[in-house]
Amino acid sequence: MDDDKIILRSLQKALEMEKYSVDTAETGQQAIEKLKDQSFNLTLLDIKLPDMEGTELIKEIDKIRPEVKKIMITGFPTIENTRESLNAGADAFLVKPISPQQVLEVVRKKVKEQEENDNLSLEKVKKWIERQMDRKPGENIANVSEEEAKNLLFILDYHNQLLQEKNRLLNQSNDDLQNYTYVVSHDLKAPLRSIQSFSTFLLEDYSNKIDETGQDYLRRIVKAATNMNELIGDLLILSRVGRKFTEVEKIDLNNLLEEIVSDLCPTIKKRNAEVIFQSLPTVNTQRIWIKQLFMNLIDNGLKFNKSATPRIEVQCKIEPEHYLFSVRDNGIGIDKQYHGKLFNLFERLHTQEEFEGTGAGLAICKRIVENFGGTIWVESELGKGSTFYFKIPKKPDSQKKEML
Amino acid sequence: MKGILQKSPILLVEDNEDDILITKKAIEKRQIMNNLFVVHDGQEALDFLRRTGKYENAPRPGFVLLDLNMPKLDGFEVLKEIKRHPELKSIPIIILTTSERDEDVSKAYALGCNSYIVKSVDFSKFINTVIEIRQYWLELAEIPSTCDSKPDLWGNLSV
Repeated sequence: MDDDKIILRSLQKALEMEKYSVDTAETGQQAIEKLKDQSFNLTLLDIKLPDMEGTELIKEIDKIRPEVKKIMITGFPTIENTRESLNAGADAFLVKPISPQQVLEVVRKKVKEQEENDNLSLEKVKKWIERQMDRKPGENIANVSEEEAKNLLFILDYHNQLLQEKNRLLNQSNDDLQNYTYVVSHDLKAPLRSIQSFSTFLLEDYSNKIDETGQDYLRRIVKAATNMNELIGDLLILSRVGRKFTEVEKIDLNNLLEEIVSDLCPTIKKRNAEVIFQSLPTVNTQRIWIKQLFMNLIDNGLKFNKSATPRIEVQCKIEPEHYLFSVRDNGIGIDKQYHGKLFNLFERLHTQEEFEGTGAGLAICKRIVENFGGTIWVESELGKGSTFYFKIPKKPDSQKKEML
Repeated sequence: MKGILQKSPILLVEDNEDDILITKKAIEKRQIMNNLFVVHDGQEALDFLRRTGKYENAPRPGFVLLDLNMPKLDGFEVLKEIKRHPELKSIPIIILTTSERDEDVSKAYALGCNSYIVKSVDFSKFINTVIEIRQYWLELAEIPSTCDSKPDLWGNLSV
């Protein structure tokens, strides 16, 4: 509130640039009307307004909205009016000429104070709840006066609303992020397609005009584009875990494993490998993700394996609340120092020449298991094969909500 | 009648010049003899199919390869328009896009697309895709043969 329009506008601009939402009034009466309509965190007011004194306005504001912070601005600071303003209830006092920075600083401080105040009352609620939790059975619920209880309920309700709002924002930003990954991954595919295709055209149709070195470069471009395509594919899968809605269904894991073995058949035959499993349980879960999980683990067991007869064994131990699965291989094994890093996205322990792959497979496994509400870990030593364990709850309702 | 559409032209609705070239190349490399007509946005696609404006003499395509993300009218809007048009709705519409988004797939089928195909980044796979689409829709599938009919006749047929 200020009668000088230029000051009013420049302050408004400065505050809005900092993402505060700002409303303005040129007279005290206008300000009072606006405050009746809606609440503000903070008001900035001139000590002299056309229709009333700033101190008067402060008192009026206190009547309508006692929670609002009030910062007084004046062109003529005297001990008198400073004291008067503070007595009237001003929370801070600024002297003209004021820079927008100065105002911003005070506004930030006051807004922060208010937030801290909110936290303070939250502390109070917490203590109260703790007290209630401690009370012995039969003891009176409220060890507090009715007034205090009302107050606490009010604060609790307020914080509940805050929490809900924050939750909503969090969910929204989560969704946004996942959508973002999804969209970006797709948008990356289009240019990649051009790179891949036109390099192929050059190789196929212009090979008589390009020398051997040039052709080698082109082949490298094609290969790099192919690799990048795989990376994007994995990112897409990763962003889909927990996002793609699929029904929970009864799945006989023996059938599922047979399906996986048949999918991997060419590799299994080529490597002279065997995949062993027997009497696995029937579980309630999401088909695509449980399949992806076993697929990745078995595929890894076959890939990181130099044995003449690779052997993967899948077992399940049924516990009261959980299934504990193990996927054991006779592969190259993993040095203990890398066990922690293993599940990170795009973590690779070998060069592309040694073993191909993007390094996203285990990150995808981890994301899937965690979305099932479970945990995954590895036991392995270099040269002695690896066993991947994962433990998932039997009841799908204890699996994360967003999966359902 | 099966096979009668074998020589039908193909309409490609695509705004990305690279993708147009890649599709043309695929058709050329496999010596597909069908004429390929290209339009660059959804509005042009509808004009072509409805034979309005500069497309007064446009032929009826054997099938349409429709991209989703396009300026002006996007693929979904074009699809919706075609599928509620009595004379055009029997033309097979094949969505050909880079998007694997579940939402896009569901939406396209809900609007009545005949197939949804994701463009492969790998050119040799893409060639096969184009060949198979052509073979399926122009040789294998039974589709009402209206390719030689005049527009007013289709109108009468649909009544």
